[in-house]
Amino acid sequence: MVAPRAGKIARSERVGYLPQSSDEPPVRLRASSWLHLVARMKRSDAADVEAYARELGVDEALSGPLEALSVGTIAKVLLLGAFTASPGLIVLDEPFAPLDARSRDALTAMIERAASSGAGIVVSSHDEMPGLGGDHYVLQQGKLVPRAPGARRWRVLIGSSDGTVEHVVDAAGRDRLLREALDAGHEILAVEERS
Amino acid sequence: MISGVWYYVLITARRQAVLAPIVTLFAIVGIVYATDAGPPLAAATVPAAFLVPIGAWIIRLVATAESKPFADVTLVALGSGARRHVCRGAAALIFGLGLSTVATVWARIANTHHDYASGVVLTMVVMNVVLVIAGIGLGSLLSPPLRVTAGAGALAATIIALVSLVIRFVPPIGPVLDAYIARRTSGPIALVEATTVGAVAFLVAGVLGRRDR
Repeated sequence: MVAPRAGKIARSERVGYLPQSSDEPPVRLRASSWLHLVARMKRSDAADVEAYARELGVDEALSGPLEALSVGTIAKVLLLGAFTASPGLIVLDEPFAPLDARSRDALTAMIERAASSGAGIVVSSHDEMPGLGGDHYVLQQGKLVPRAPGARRWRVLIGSSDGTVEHVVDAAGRDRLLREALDAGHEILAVEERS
Repeated sequence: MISGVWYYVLITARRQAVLAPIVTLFAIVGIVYATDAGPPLAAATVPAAFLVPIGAWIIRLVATAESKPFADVTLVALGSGARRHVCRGAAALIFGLGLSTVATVWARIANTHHDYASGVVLTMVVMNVVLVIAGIGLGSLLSPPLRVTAGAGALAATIIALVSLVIRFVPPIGPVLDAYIARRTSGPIALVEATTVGAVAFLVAGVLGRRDR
C-alpha cells in the first residue's frame, strides 16, 4: 500500500479490495470461513456472495481449505472477498489477469451488476476493458487522462512475400490480426501503440 | 473489530508454529513446579518472566499469519492500520490470557506444600497477565508491519528480557522479580511499570506502523 501524499479520503463504510494476484500462500481457513469473516469485518451480510461464486464457478471450492486451492481459484475467492463490500466501494487491482475467458465475462457482468446496485467500483488494468461501462482513464506520465473504452489504437506492421502492410487497429483487432498473420506464415515487423 | 480479533485468533491457532511458545511455557512451568517450588509468588515470577518473550513471540506469530495479499485485504476490510494493530494485539492477548491461566492453575495444582490464598492467586494472575501484556507490547515493535526480520526480532526480544533480568530496575521483568522474590520494591508499582512499558511500546508500534505498512 502506498501512503497518500496529499488530499483527503472520504471513506465509504464498506470497502472491498482485490490485491494483484500472487502465488503467496493463503491463510489457513476454509474459503467460506474467510469470506464470512471478511464480510463481518465490513459489517456486510454478503448476501450476493453465493450467487457471485456460482458465476465464477467456485461455489463448490468454498467448502474447502484455501491452501488446497489453485492460485487461480484463490484469486477468484479474493475477488469474492472484494465483492462482499457491495454496494460500498470496491477497488480491483488487475482483476482480469488471472481469469480464464469465461470468468472474465462473468466478472464483467458482476461489475456491471454491482455498479447498477449502487457500488462504486475502481478497476486498474493493463488490458483494454472494452466491455466495461463507466469512465475510463489512462495513466500517462503520472496523470490520469480520460479515454473512451476501446479507444487505444495499435499500429501493426506485417511483412510477407508481397511486401509490407501497415494496419491501425484496436486491442481486439490487434489480437485477431496477429493471430491470422502468424497462421498465414507472415512476419510481424512491429506492434506499437499509437499516441 | 471483534470479527477481526476472531479472524487473527483463528488463523494463528491453525499455524503449527504457535505450538512452540505454548510448549515452551509448559516446559518452563513443568520444570519450576517439578519439585517444591517455594513460596507461591516467588515461584510464580519465573514463568511470569518468561511470558515477556513468549508474549513477544506470539504477537509476531499473529502479525505474520497472513501473506501480503491477505494482509492487505484485512487492512482494507478493518478500515485502518490502527484497527488492525488493535485486533492483532487483542488476538495475541487472548493466547496470552490462556497461557497465564495455565501458569496459574498449574502452580495451584502442583505446588501443594504451600498455601494459595485467593489474594495470592489473584496476584499471580495479574502478574502473569501484566508481563504477557508487556511482552505483546514489546513484540509489536518487532513485528509487521514494522520491517524487522525474524532473527533480529528474536535477538532483540532476548536482549530486552536479559537486560531487564540483569539490571533489576529496568522494567518489565526486573522490578517484578525484585518485588516478589527479594521484596525490595513495591509489587503493585512494578506491575504498573511493566503495564506502562507494554502499553507505550504497543502505541509506539501502532504509530510507526502507520508510516510503514
